[in-house]
Amino acid sequence: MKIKFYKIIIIIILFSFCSTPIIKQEKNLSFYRIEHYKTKRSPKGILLQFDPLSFSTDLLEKHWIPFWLKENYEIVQIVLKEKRLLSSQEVDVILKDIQENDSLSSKKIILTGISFGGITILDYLNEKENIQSISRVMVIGTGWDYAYSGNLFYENHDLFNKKIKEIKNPKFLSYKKYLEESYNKPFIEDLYIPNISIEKKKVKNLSSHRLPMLIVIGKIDPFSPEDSMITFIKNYRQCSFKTLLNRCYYIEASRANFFDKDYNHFDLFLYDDVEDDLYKDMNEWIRKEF
Amino acid sequence: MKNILSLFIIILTTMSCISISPSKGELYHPTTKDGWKLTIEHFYDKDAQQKFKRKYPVILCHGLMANRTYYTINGDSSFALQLAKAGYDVWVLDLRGRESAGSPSWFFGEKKYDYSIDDYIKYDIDAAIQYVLEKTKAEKVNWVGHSMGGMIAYARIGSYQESRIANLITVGSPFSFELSTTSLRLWHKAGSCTTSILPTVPMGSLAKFNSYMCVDLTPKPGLVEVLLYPENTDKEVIKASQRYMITNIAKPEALQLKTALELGEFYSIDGKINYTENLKNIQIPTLMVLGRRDHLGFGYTIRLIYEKIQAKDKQLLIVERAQGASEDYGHGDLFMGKNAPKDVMEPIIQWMNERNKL
Repeated sequence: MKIKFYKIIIIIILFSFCSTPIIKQEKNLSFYRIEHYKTKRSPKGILLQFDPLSFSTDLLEKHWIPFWLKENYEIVQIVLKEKRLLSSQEVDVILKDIQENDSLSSKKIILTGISFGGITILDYLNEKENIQSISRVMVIGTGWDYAYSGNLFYENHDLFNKKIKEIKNPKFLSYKKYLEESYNKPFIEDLYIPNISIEKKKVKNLSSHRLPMLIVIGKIDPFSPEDSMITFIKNYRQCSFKTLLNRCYYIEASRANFFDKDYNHFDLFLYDDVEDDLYKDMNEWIRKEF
Repeated sequence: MKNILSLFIIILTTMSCISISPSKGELYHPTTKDGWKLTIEHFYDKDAQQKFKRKYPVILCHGLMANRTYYTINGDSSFALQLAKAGYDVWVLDLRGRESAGSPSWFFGEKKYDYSIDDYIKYDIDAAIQYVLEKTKAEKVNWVGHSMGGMIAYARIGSYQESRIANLITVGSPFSFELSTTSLRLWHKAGSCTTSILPTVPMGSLAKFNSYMCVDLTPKPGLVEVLLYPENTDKEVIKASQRYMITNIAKPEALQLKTALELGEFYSIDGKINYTENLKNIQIPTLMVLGRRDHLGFGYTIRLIYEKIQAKDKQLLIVERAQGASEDYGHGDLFMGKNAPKDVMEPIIQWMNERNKL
């Protein structure tokens, strides 16, 4: 009987370490809402992540949020009331709100861009000369400059401001079917493509920043392909490939890099083994940078 | 014991049957100014030519480690035949060192593996264009290059003021380089080790050997995917390409690419010409095709070319599922893929048709 009791105790202890219950607090603000995911222990840092725009933030609760909580990072998720890209003034408002929150201001903040939400962050870096409240930047599944022929958005303007179920573009329909076969249908149908600029981006202040940067691209992601990041990478100070001392880390999630698969946009968040396959590499970079 | 060993060798090397073989055209062997024999294979369809009346003939040029079979391996679905059906006068080029014009020797003999990519740019393109123009009496040609076949055309037009090319189509052709993937870094290391011992990277010999094996010795998926996306290519086509298409890489050729990978830009072997920098001199209509899954002519590097060339008429074509293709294409499968005629060849021919009206 004694042995059985100890077994139960051990199982309970193991469970308390293995599974991290999600503690979520919500707060409504002017044009956005904050979802604050807390850890039990004192966190290593905070992921301040912007609304992905294309999908509901609930989706991140499958792998992304549990992984970072398990690694002891708090997450502050910005959820926009209107799904659109933000101006730098609006980002300033958010950063100010965060800094005024006593429980967050003293911690290391990693500005995190997910999917189309990352465009807001990259635009903000381009607009601002100096950002002091942030310690790192990380974008995953984010593109920036679509001003070239051949890319999905340049060739198909009719995709903007629509849910996938509303898209009638015949070329895109087969892709929609392919996505539906890969994931569940209602999820795919509700995905949203916001209005994205296909005008040439004017590079302003990218070379002035020294913030370390992590860029993660899915090899077969047509929404945020590697070609749409080139203007940013070539101009961001830390991203010069030829500088050995650069602090810009670029991960192309592909089989040629010995990941399990060539990732598409949604694999970056929904692939069953994404935590072990991809996120652990990202975590390793952040750990080194801290 | 001997019998068992013999039996093992027989089983291992039992010739695996390949049901497909490359289409055949008329063969010619023009000679370059520095004395190398090339091979050009001619395909045409007289009825289609009379019907459509295309302005310029087309030269198709293969990539590194390949020969002209790349454009003829799929029978009727091959690009050479598809172009002929569309009314083009098609000339499929073998650059120097390829088997049909006499393979170079490893150590002895008149011709050895001592040529670089500069030789393709300076001599082979010149000889091929001159020969085709003489034969067809045309003023210019269309140039289609896959991978390195497009690179040498960029270099020729940008750095040698080549004016006999009317329209340029490059397919999976990089021109600035990054050691972007672990696989590419491994290939780079393997190539460096091999050329420190041998005068050639014997990819052709190895591939041919593999094509006769019952057991597939192709390296693990991650490594192969630098070359093509296997799931998008029929196994028979892969096997046939190993037997007929893959060729050895000459040492100077490999060293020139190794330097490009390390420097990020493509230079002549003596370092005097920066071919990448001279992309800005390209002003002719250019179509750049890339497969979304390609790891050699990948989106990042092709976008750089797109930004650098000064042509007013330039277009990128990305072959990906999201834009209606049946698959996200890799490198080699751009012309050998299961649905390449519809996904890749059709839009290229359409682009060419618009620029080849009489």
